Amino acid sequence: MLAYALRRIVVSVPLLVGVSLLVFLILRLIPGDPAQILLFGANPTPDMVAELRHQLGLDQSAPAQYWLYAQRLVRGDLGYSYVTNSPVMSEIAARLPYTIELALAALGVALVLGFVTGILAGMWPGSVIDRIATVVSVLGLAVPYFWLAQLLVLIFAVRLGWLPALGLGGPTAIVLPALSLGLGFAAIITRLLRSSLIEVYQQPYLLVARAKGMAPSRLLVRHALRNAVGSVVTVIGLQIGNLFAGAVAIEIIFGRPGLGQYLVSSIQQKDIPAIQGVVLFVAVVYIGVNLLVDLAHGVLDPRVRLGWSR
Amino acid sequence: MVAVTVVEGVAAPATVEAPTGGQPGRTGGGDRFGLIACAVGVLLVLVLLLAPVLAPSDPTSIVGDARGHPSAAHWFGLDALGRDVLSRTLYGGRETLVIALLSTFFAALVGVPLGMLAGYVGRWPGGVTMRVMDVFLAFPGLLLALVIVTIRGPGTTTVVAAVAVSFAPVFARVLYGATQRVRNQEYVAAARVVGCGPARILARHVFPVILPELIVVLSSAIGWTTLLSATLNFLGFGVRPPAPEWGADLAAGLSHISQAWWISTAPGVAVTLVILLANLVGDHLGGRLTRGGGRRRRPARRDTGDAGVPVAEAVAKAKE
Amino acid sequence: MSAAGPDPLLELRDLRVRFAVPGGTLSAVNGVDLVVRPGEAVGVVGESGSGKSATCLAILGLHPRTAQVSGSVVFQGRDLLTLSDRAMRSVRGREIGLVYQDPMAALNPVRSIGAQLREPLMLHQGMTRRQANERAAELLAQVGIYNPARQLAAHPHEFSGGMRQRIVIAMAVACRPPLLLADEPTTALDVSVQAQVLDLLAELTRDLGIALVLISHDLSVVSSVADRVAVMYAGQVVERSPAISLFEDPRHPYTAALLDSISEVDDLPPDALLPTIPGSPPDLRALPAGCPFAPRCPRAQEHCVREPPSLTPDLSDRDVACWHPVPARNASPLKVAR
Ligand SMILES: Nc1ncnc2c1ncn2[C@@H]1O[C@H](COP(=O)(O)OP(=O)(O)O)[C@@H](O)[C@H]1O
Ligand code: SF4
Ligand SMILES: [Mg+2]
Repeated sequence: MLAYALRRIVVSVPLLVGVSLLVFLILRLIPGDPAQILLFGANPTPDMVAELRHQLGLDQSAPAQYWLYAQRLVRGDLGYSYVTNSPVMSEIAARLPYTIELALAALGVALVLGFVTGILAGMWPGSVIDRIATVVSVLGLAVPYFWLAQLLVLIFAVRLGWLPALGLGGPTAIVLPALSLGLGFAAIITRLLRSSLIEVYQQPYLLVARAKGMAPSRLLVRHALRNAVGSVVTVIGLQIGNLFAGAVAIEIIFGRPGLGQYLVSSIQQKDIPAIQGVVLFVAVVYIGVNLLVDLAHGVLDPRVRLGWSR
Repeated sequence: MVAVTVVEGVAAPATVEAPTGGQPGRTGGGDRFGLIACAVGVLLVLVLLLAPVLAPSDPTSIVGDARGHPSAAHWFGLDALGRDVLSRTLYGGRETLVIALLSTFFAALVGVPLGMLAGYVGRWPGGVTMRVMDVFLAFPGLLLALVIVTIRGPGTTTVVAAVAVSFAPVFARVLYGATQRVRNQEYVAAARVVGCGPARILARHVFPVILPELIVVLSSAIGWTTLLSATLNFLGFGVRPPAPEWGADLAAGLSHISQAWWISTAPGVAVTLVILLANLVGDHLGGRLTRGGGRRRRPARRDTGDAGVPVAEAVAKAKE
Repeated sequence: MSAAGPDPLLELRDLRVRFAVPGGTLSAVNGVDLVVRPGEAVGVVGESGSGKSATCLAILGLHPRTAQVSGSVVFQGRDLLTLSDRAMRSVRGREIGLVYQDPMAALNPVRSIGAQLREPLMLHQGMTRRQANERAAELLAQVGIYNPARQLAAHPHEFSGGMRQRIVIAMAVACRPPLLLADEPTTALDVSVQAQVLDLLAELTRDLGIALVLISHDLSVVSSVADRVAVMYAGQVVERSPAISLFEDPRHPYTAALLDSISEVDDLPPDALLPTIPGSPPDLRALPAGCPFAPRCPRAQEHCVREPPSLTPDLSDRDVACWHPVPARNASPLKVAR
């Protein structure tokens, strides 16, 4: 297991380098000179521009600039916002809690709903529960979350008045954003878990386990879920990225001052270090989460860590 | 996405059916839905093509009261400025679908040859190519698209480019895996022995074999490119204001949701419908194409129908 | 087999299993009668699809709910078909063990073999985890696995097919059930290890006094272990006989054909061919009114097609379901006189 973990960790290092390189390239690929953009409106003299270019390291060669950038990244320095002049890292830190809260709440919705319905549907394929779950999850996969959010606001905030539609007021404020973001994800989990469970329940080893006298509940927990959950876990990891991505629209809809809203306003204001910082941050978190997921998968299924493909 | 069944279907075509495990009944339901979905999809495209004929009014002209209720004259109501929602939805769909189709096309144009070459050549060039794709896949799709928006500035062509860039690696991934599996087959080796060059082998011997898988991924990808382009438009990085577009109109409806829910209802339903159709059609084709025209009956597998588990799943499976 | 003996451990009476399938109803088992006495080894042979596994699963009550199972499965005086789910669970594993045909698929790949061996022990014998671990190690030693205590943490993929089947056998006899059902226990194994696993099975059940029902499509496998053999065809028992007499003197035309097909391929390596008989078994969705073997039977006569033969005592220790059984080869005058 340790060897597997090490191998996994080593593999993500070049990935991190690649990600940082790509984010670095944003700056290089943007038409126009960052110094000019920064000094826009100040009617700068060529000297001022040259001075700023030097400060930003823009007068150096591209590899030298990347090397500088990478060194700062390792120290946790994401540069300074063009707009506020404060460190991007602290801007991110100030907004991160809102996004984390949203992502975790949505993940909670997805896991609870996805697992409950996925298990029910997978244990009794063809039953009424299964049919309802299938229809709802096929729809759930198709409804765009930024329209779902509007529907939920319309029903639960405007019509019924049960829940607040906007802002951060109290614990109930997270419910609608979390549902908007989590329901589609729940549908994915439901469908995957259902099909994995159906497949696992047809495996001979489940018959053999039943021939040992195991009760359905134990059979589910000890044998079926353990096997079915492996592929689901991988997809959950990959979907975490979509939670962060989805947070962009959801934060704007519900007026939550999180990372997503920050990213969009940074793009509108051409605040390049902020854009780079947020994008890089999310990518690194995403890679980290998937690393953890891979390790979890290795714990759950010994064949994975031995590199056996099924 | 369908790719669950696709990828496995190709990898292990001869699943042995345990005689005692078979589940009775319930076959072919997915097929029926798939066929209906194909028909509705064709109908939808026709309706959008005929928008100039079908739309009751110009999508950008004000034809009544602001936020007018749905009525006999304006079935889907009027938007915040008094424009006909039905007309906007019909015209907006042309925009959304063109963006989605174009970006899917460009993504495939780049991703498919890249994945096939990498899969066929293998060794370090293939490996390095795929590691680069992994770097792209390390960003959630929307983020990658927003990076492109940052670089190019907002606009419709940007959206096409952004969506294409975020989906090209997905195509590369899936095709890489498929090609690798085909590469070592005997007929490919035979072609090599006869002296066929790589380009010819890929075109003549590999491509036809992996085409079914590609078609399935393509059709499901349309759903996801539709969602992504609508999202970018929703965020305001796509079309310019008076122009109709589903995502943009959904954003416009947001601030009026408490007084005029109908503004966002039609475009919302439309996006949902397109994604739903793409998933169902993809699933249907997945069943048809990769299981030998449905001749080989696999009730258990059919029953697990995986309508629309997203791209991530395709990638997950392809990675294995 | 009317011969007197101890009370039967298991008695199948007119067991029938039917499945609803797309083309109608599939009759997998059609009135099987079989008796197993404590400690004896009974063989069941028949071609693939003749309903052997379906019979086996019916005994354990492991068919899907959609299957229609009728008749009776009397085990130690109780009809298992009438038991509640809960009561049935305490029979499985504790009183009847199962060895499944494919050892590669019979063990859960993601759980250690220790965990899988402990399950029946903790479930039925109320052992603690630690006790169960000790017992599991003993069981592994008993089935010939080296270094058992350390192997408990290993996962199934770390073992060869033969070793896995040994583990499955250990699991099935863990609670020392009075009856063990072995469904094609060696079919999926390499020929080189088939005999070893078979010997293990025979020895273990003999030593522990466990009655064994050994199911196989291979007559030679069954007859080397079993005292008595039942031959199945199209979901019915067509002949029951002591193992030795069956080999020397088959009475049912189907048994005779099976034996012929084996002797024809005698010079070939044993795994080269499965015994084959010209023609194919009947469609289980539309069974003929008369004898199901009639279309392939060299001895068939007109009324065979109309009237189904029933399993009737032929000689003192033989039962045959046939209107025109093969004449006894070296019929002793004594038997003829009867
Ligand atoms: N769960 C089931 N559903 C439908 N048909 C089944 C099921 N289980 C077994 N059968 C059918 O019953 C017949 C007997 O099968 P089986 O008992 O497995 O034969 P075998 O003698 O080879 O073990 C076969 O035709 C098989 O296809
Ligand atoms: S009853 Fe007739 S057809 Fe059937 S086995 Fe006997 S002789 Fe053959
Ligand atoms: Mg069988």
